[in-house]
Amino acid sequence: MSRKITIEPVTRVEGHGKVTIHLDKAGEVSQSRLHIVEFRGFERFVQGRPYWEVPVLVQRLCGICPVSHHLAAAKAVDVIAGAGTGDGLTVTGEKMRRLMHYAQFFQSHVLHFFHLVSPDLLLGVDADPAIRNIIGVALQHKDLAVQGVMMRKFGQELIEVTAGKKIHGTGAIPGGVNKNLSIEERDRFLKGADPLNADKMIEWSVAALDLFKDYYGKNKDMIDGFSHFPSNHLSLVRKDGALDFYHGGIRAVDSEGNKIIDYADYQDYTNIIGEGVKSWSYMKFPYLLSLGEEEGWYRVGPLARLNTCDFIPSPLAQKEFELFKAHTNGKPNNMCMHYHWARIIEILHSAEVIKELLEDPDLQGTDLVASGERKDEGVGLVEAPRGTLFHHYNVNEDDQITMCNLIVSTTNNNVPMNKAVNFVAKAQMSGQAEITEPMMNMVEVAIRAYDPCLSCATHALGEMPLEVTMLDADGNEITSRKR
Amino acid sequence: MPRVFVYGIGNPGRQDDGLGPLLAERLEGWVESEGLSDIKVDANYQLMAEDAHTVSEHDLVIFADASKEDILSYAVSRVEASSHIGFSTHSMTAESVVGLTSELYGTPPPVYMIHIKGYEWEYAAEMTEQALDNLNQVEQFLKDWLKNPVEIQTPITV
Repeated sequence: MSRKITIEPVTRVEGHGKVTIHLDKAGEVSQSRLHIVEFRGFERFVQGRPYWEVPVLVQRLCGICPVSHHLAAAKAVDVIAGAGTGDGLTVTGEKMRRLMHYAQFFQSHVLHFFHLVSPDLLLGVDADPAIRNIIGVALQHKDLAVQGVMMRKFGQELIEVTAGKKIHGTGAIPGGVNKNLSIEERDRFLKGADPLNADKMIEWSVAALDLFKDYYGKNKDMIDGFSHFPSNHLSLVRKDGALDFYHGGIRAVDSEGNKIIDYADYQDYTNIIGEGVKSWSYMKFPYLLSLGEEEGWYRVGPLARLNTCDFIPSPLAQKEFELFKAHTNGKPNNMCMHYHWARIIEILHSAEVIKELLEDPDLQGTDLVASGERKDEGVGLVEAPRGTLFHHYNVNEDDQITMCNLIVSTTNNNVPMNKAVNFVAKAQMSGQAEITEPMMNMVEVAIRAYDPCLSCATHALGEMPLEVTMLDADGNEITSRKR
Repeated sequence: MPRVFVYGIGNPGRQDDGLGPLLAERLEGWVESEGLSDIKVDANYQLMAEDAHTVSEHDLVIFADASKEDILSYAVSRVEASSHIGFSTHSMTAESVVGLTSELYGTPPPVYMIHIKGYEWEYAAEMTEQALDNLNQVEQFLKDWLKNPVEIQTPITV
């Protein structure tokens, strides 16, 4: 009997998603798809609003990575305000934004590692879902859970200081920032009582890496073999090829490391990236125009960034990067689970950059805003924790937004996430008489590696729990599970 | 005086989802004008794991969140610790935050949730009239409670 298995929503990723796994009459997996409900209404919502409001407005999109949207939008309106592209700001303006951004990276990646991944690593992917979570980790590895909580707190409090407030921060404005960092604020994070200081964050980041590497040493076959497939990789890189989360040019490499695009100006992204559509999904499917829709899809995010950059500009993370690159003899790493390894290296890099910035007296500068000749169009790109984030706006003579186009990180990873689901479903579910809970979780593990954010910004009480439903070819329910 | 923490939860850019943060905003000024220095008021998009630490630093905690539940105006419930994690730990339930507090920092203080009935959740800052009426009622209830911040009998439904 032909069957369709539905997993909805996917646990431990943001928002709602649905996975359908289609089995043929022989019980083999014939097709798998990840359906994500993307809120496209925002691009129309913003039309007619003054452009200087946009960096605050876009934070309505998501309560998980509002800083990424805030800064991508700010970079786009910098161009409109005549302040140039990324590197046209004042020294203090750019460094304050960087501090905000690296704090966002730090807390977001920490959330993913400690709360979404460590339960799988420490308790096992086949452990009872009732205990395979951060509270389960707290029961067995209390010190680690405390580290996760305090690292999050450090990052969140640093964002609050740089963005002005926790909700709808206002730190970045067209052409710069609205505040610098006071000496008192600096010392709070640089010299704060343990554990809330930069040195402790670096120490704990190294410990998180050691935890992953220890697990990897014992589970190499699983980590290397789980959902690996070749792809192109895309990210921003600094002009000298360094990893840079805040600004750079677009670089794309193929699965062998050959450069497809190098340091391209993202103001010209519409001549670089196409946005495909599929009848079965509301999400767009971005691709490199030069390779076409079939061959031009790519990965973004931590794994892609470490595949595109030449080096990491901080000493401890660079050492770890060299180990990471040696694992694939310098070639791009196409192993899905190595997203986690790359992500923790980025945690360490973020902590190092945060310390370096906190020690920089430029953050106490008072020249905060740059300006210049106004333009009618602006594009802003940043590397968000989950991957490259595109914001593009046109404005009219009354300063109102007339067009908005966003390509969010999760959309950029749409094709690889679908391929990851298909890879795991074929490996785990083909020919099986019964679909078990651990099999379902393996599909989710593949999706979680990409840390998708499904744009669900409303978290009112009364939301639904996890529900897993299995349907036959006629749409009849075979079985259903709830978490 | 007990150390009290009032925490509004929600996204003010999504209409009635912003009820919690708006309540926090209103209370912040009132707490200052009344000189209630032991009461800390804050707001965020959602509850997260690090809130377990903040909970552990107080003697009484009151969360306030917009609600889609079948209630009339508002409700107050006691939050019991739970090890259950919902479908997304990008946001945690109040119960799981208290559960995490319990595991990491010992016995948690009494924690309550104020459920404020909301109706619309689109990309807009304007809240519905009904939701604002509900908020006004909650604001008065909470101000009366905070003048004498002790444990109360729950559930309360209004």
